[in-house]
Amino acid sequence: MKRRNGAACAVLIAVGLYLLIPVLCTFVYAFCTAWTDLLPRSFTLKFFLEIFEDPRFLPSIGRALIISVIPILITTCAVTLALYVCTVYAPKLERLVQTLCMAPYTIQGVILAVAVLTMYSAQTGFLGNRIIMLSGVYCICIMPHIYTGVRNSLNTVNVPRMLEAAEILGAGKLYAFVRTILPSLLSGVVISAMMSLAGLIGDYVVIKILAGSYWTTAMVLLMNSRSVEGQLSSAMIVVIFSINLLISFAVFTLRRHSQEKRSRVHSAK
Amino acid sequence: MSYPYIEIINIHKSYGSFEALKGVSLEIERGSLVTLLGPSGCEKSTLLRCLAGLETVTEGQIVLDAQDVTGFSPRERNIGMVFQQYSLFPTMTVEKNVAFGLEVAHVPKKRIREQVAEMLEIVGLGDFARRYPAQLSGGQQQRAALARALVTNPKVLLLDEPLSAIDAQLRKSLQSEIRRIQKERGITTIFVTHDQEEAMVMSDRIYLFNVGRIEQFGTPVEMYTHPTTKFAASFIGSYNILDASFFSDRIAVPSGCTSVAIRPEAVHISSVPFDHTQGGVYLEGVIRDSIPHGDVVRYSIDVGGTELKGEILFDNQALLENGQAVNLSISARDILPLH
Repeated sequence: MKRRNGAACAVLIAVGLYLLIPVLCTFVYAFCTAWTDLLPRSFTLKFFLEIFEDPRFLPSIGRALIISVIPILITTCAVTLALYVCTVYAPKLERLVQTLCMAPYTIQGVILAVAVLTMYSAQTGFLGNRIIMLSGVYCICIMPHIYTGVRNSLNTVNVPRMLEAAEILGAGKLYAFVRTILPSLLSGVVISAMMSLAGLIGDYVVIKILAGSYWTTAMVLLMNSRSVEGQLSSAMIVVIFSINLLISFAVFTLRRHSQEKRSRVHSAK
Repeated sequence: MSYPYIEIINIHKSYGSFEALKGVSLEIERGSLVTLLGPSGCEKSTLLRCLAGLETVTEGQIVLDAQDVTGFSPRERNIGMVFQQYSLFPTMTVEKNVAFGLEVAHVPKKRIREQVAEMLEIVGLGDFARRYPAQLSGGQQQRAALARALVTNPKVLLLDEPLSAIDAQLRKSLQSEIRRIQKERGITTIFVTHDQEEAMVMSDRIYLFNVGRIEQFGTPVEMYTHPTTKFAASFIGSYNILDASFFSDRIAVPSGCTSVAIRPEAVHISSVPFDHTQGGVYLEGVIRDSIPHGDVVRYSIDVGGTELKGEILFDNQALLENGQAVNLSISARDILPLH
């Protein structure tokens, strides 16, 4: 048993190093003045200062967050409502909803973006707007993640029985769903949302095809700065990565804080 | 003359081609506790759900307090219900769970706090108000579910096998507690269970179900002492069910009667012959097996190839042994014809 555990640990460490070393090198490189030998020559913060002094950078972060958060909210509401209808009124339709929500796994984001552009670019008005097209494509791309999160959370609750219990107590179906079921979905939805956020913030290809110069996000800015200076790109990667990490940390800390509050109430009694 | 508080009139319930309830009718007096008893799959819970409005009836009527509620939604019937799995809301504290119905009814907050606190004291959960359902034991969850159902002062309380997931010892104390609360509040209650002992202990009246129909109904004593069908005799108690021909040369068996039932305690067992002048049926047999059941011992007796079960109070000095020849005496009035 000990030999097996040792081998498993060794594999884990090897894989971990393989994945972490490029990230660590990027991190270190962002602080280097130059790194042409085995070790960097010296360290500096000038590239980070340059990023934050660039008037385009912070707005690009803001745009990345907006174009990520809005599709997450739209998709979460749509999927949750669809599953509510299936669970309460039409259980037979759930298979269809599952197929529709999981189908985007089979479609490359690039293909979807090109298809949407081909279909709607000639349209004037709402549907022809590039940002609307981009939001729509992002909604489709994250649908499998959001569906999985909501569905898994719903599986932990006996939804029909909860709704019946609430109805007997005088609640309408929608009120019962909002008050008794939705709070149970929160954990699953938060995790799926965080995964989706990371994916959307890191997207370049789809946004380049659809929005291009209309909506310059942090990733677009990053790709454009690659040819300028390597350390600058690395510094941008570090900042984007850190923002992602901070958002995730904030969300999970809030969730843990609320769970700890529940436990403290129990312990106090 | 008082009218029945609940009338269920010729209820039929079908799921496609499958007919679950086949013309069920019953009446329930105000303030009584009635049990719907039967094996799993006999559709007793289906009837309860129809009464609650969670299922629509295919045919028939449900009258509650002189009002036809057949077409009413669950919200409109003013009924409280405790489910088998309690169905407490997992993200709400016990306090919030119990307050839910009052919040939906827009009761003022101060009044909600008072009523919830009072109800939690009644069910013995006063110190557990701030806990979440996952932090409660099975018995505590059941009491929280009961408090939630009662706090809105429903006209009727429905209990769908609420004690089936609880261990035997705790179940007995909760049976007493439910009965106490029901009597104190005078609330008309319908209790569903498959446990015939539970039904006997708790009920004013029992309705025995078999495949979507009422097989027999009566008080617990009537049900126990006078089953009228083979199913009733086999489900309630541990009756001996014998072919009527076994006794046809000894007592007068009503015509059309193919089986008879005898309670095990009605089979008197002795190692010495009985005085035949007492009347009744006298048999001889051999002890095949003896099983202690707490304060009684149940004997399995071979009577000329037919097995009879007999029970006597446990007496360490008078235990009969396997293979021992015994004499049996059964009073004629204890041989019950079945239809």
